[in-house]
Amino acid sequence: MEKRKKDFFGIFFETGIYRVGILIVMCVVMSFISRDFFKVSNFLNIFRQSSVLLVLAACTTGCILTHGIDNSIGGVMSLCGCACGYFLNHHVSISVAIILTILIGMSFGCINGFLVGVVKIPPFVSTYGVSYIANGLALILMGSDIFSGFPKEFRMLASGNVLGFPLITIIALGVTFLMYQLFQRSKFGKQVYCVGANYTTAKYSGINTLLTLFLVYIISGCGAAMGGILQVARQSAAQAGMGDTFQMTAIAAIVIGGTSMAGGEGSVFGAVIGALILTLIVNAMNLLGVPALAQSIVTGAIIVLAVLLDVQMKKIQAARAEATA
Amino acid sequence: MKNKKPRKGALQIVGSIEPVIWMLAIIIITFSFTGEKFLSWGNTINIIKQASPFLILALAETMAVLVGQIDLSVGNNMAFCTVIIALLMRSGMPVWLCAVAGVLTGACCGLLNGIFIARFKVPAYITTFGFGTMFYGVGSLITGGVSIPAMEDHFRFLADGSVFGIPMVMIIALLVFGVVWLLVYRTSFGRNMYGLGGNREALFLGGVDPVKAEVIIFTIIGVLVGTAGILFAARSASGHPDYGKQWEFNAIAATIIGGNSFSEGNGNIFKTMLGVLFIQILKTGLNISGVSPQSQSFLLGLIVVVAISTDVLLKARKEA
Repeated sequence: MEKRKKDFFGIFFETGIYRVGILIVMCVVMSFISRDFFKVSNFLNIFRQSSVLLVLAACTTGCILTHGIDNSIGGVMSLCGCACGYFLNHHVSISVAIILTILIGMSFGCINGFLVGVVKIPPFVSTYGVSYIANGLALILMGSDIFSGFPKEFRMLASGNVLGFPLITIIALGVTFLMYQLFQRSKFGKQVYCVGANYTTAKYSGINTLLTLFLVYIISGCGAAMGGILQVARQSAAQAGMGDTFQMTAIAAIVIGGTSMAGGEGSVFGAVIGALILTLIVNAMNLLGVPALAQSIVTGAIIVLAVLLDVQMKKIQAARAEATA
Repeated sequence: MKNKKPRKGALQIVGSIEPVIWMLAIIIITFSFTGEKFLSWGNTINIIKQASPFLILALAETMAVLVGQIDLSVGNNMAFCTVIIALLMRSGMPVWLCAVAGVLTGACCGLLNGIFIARFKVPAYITTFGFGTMFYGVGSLITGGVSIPAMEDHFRFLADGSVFGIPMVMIIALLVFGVVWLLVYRTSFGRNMYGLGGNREALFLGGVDPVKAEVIIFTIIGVLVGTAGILFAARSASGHPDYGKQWEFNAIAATIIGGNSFSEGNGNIFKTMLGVLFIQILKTGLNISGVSPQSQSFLLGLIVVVAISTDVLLKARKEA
């Protein structure tokens, strides 16, 4: 087969590498504006801050790839964080607490998978109802209390360093790499893309669509649980509603990274870029001393503009593909 | 065979009634036993007063669902409108002008949403979330995060007053409902809305510009949100950017419980009204029966999931 020659812009568009370009441009601009930005300590800080979002976004990418959405990650994350805090405060050993918490997250993923795959309720609606249930359970467990005073070894998850690199980031990168292997490099990943691109076709070509949906939502629930655990370790406190802000931010990170909400298109790598972009903005605003009240204006604007840029880029890409074809 | 037939008939009857109706019946009967004052006139008026601004917000959400989109910004935009209204009122503007300004603010927010969603094809989920966050930020910045009083008597009358014993909020909400009903069911524009949710290509071939229609719909959503903002500001006699917290979720929950479908762009504003009544009655009833607020979110979620599951399963069985 003849190997088509690609010019620079072809590679630029087709691989979606320009998103890395956005990230680099942001870094360059910031290092000119703020003297504190281009420092190793600040970059480690950005990595540390982005870890929880990274785990959530990487694990939920699967749902969006199947033309679904998981609106329950925020609620499940709150519940799992609170449950983890509860276990730790009731003298459950750390490893058992973490395993139990992840099992809770996976069981909520199972419920989502059941509602989406078997009952066939639109994912937006069913996961949304499940988020109410999870949030409510967290509230029942906690009331307005805050759990704190966790063992030092548990807090090491967030504050520890391995060879000068934050442990929490290593965990997050490990999870992300696992997701990359799963969605981009395995047979299961191919099936996920097929289900997202065309459910009926996938079904008739012999893919176990039900199992795929189940697994995708279980992975997402598992990610929400891990995000909850890491966030509790970071804050060294657990309270109900701690996952609320992460819900939309995680989905925004995925979409900024170029994953289409119509399913079947996108990547885990994109989610990583999206999560880094969103964290970088917050970090930059803190360095520049933007008041907390004004930060949500910038975040909101950047989310819309980033996705707008992405949509326009895809249009150009489609036009180019048509021209060369 | 003989045993099977009547059972199927019973299921069909149950299936033909919207689940929200029998759920409403169940909770009203339950609460009239558990809560003493539940069936009193005072409580009924209370429920209606609470449900009225909520109904307007839920109607806005239903419009978005009708065209196959979602609006996550209704809560934050509504709160932004209350801030604008309160600020203008503090600066001494006449009440009616403040109200108009509130509606216009809402319309502008909606227009912005509409342009980005319809013209630039940014997914509604992201657009409305982003702009909602932005308007929340603008509101917090100009108020400094504190609530702005709006104590004008004429203005308070909108929320507290009544005409011939009928609460003013209810009259306004029903008027808005009537206008939306006329728009959706009695105009060609309303039929286009269903087309937008269902088959855009057919709509385009029929000579309607889907982009323009969608922008107009999101502007109308903004107008409704602004109207709800007036009622919210009047009820709490103030404006605050936090007033919208959770309201988009309540609006979405009401739309869902009413039985509106999120997938095929079909829906019905009467269903939304029932959904609003259901949530409001449930909340009030749980409060009167002494259920802690912590458990309410859990119960609401459970009811949403169970109700929709039965609805979907019954419909699937009816088709089979």
